[in-house]
Amino acid sequence: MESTIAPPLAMLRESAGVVHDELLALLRDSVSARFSPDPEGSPERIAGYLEDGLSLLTSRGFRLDSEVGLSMESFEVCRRLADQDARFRFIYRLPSSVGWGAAIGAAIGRALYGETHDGVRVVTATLNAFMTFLDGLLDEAPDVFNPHRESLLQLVRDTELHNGTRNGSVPRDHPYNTMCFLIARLWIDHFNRLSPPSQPGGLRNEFLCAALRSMAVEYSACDSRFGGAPPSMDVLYGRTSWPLWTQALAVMCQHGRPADVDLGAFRKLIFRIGEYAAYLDDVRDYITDCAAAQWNTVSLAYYSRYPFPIDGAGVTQRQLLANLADDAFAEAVIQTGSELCDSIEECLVGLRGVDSDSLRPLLADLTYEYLC
Amino acid sequence: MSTCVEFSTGESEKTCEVVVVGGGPAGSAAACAAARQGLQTVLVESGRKGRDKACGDMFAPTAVTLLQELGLCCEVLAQAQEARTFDALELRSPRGLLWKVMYPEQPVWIIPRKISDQKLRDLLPANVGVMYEASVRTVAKLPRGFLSVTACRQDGKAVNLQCRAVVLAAGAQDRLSDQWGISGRRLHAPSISAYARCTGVTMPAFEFLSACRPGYRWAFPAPDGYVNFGICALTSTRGSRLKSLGRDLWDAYGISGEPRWRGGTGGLWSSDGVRWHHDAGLVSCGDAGGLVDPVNGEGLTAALASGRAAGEAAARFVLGNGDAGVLRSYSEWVKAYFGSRYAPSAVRTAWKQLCGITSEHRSSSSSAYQCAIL
Repeated sequence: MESTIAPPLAMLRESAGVVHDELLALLRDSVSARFSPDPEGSPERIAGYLEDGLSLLTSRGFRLDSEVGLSMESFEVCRRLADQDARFRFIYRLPSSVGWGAAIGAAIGRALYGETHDGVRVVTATLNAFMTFLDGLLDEAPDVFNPHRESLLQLVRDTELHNGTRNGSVPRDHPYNTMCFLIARLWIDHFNRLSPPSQPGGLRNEFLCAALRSMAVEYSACDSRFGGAPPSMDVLYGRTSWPLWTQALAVMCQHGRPADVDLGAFRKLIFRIGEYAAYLDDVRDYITDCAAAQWNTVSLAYYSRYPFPIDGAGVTQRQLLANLADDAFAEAVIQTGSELCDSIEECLVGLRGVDSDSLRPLLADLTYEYLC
Repeated sequence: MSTCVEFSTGESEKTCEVVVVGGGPAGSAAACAAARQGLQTVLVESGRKGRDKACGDMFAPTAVTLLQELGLCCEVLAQAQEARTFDALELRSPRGLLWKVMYPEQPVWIIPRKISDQKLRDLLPANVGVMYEASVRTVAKLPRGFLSVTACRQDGKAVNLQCRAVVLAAGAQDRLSDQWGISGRRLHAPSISAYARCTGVTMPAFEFLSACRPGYRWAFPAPDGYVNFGICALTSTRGSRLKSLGRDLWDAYGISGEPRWRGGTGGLWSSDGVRWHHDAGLVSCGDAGGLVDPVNGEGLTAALASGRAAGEAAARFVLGNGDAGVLRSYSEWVKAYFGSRYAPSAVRTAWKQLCGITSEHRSSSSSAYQCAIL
């Protein structure tokens, strides 16, 4: 049966690329001016994030030291493995994700406290790298990583109990599993160094719970393959929103709860930003995710609006790729993008004690990164 | 071992089976591949023996593998007295060291172009004749499937080479590939380089410049305490601007004296190319076909890969009595191979971000400015 549908599906994928490019351009025209006081500055700033990420990985603050067990050589072992096996090429996203993580920490710090702190930036950077790495492993090489799901969660849970990391919990069966655990230990290690150190309860527990929730959502999202029951939208949005909220909590762990800020409203803002980022990512990766038989927020939104029989991954793929040529689909994509922007604006406007100008360049850069 | 093509007094014509225009890495790979099929081949090089070039000193592991497959690796690399090997290279920015890429299994080779290009030509098979200091002006169709290649020598005399197939490998400034519509619609990327004495550079380094986005500068250690410094702009950039950035580079490394810049131009992949062959028996490769990596400006690997494929295609064309199908296959291969090689991927995205290449930058390159100092 599969062989009879393969040729038209392949043709559909090829032609879908052109329509998809047009859709990205339409969305770009619709939202790229929303947050950008300086649209010309995004490429320069994004290059700066990557530079920052690379230099954090090597020399400034990341501390590839014997305490955690990471070294440039261990990264290079993984990089060379990626040259041989394309599944592991996600390692190349690591410097960029470190840079973006540092930028997120800096922007939230400035928005809440008017300042940024190097120690926080390292936590938000390494946490971002960890989530990127985990996402890559779960999506691209689940067979390699799946045996270690529970023990990775346990590593983070133990942090609550021990206020530190345990040396014996790093798997050695595959360089990428080792790397994933070492990066986890790295952000935990740096989190424990934040000031005030080892503050019991309160924000510290909230941070660790959010980190665990981020991982759990990531686990659930990667299981959302075509052919099975579609996931909930909360799970698909949550894989970006929860890590972002975890990073925001890291900032607050350093500085303390912001006095004049409604934390519930601020949390809502962070979640809206996370949803916006997830959505842009999913519009951009629509074809790739379809090819990988993976639900994302865009395909799930279409399915929710216009349900169709789910009868095997191939049928779902064809249906979702064919949607691209549908004007109603394009309109819905653009409308959703605009609504997400509106919801961020509403949160920003109604929020006291937060310097929204510190967040706008980051939002503009996110938009540029995904759509330009 | 190749031979120099000599013309006795008054002689103005020679006959062969394949003519390769351009004696850089792409041309040598093409000549080698064609000659290996037993075809009498003439390689026409506009420069004199041992002429240097502005960039392309670094043989990455993939390029070394390609040389090995051509049977040229050991000779070229081991006999090159000025060759140096490194098991790592550094990526830098004004903020300092960004990353150290390590090659523990297959090293990176840094060989001055004047050495590597000449070694490659010297080691071509005996059925390749090399004509130096001759510029090819025209390629014309003749009856019965022949082509006429007219070259002008230093002494002003024109010589005609009659052949069955022509490989165009004369670099990014090649006009013939434009005339025959097989340039791959290349974009132009200017670069400059110069040697200077400097002891502080211990391994090859690339440095990304916020002052020159998209672009970067390099420092490649050479023997005897010299370093090859250079700047590559991946979009149209004025020569004066490059020189100014070169001055900064000089100052950054504390080098005294005035640099003696050599200029060059890379033929970048544009994604707009349709064909790299003409049914009459021509194929283009390397910079002439716009096959240089548009993100990092690396062209040596592409030159060797496409040169070899072009030489093989030309040979099959001759041995197949002018069956243009093999040339069409070459074009299809170029489109698929380089289209895939230069397609977005995580690592390319990272380079792109570091270089600061945006879609606006790339599109502005289509109105390529020819660097005045080159």
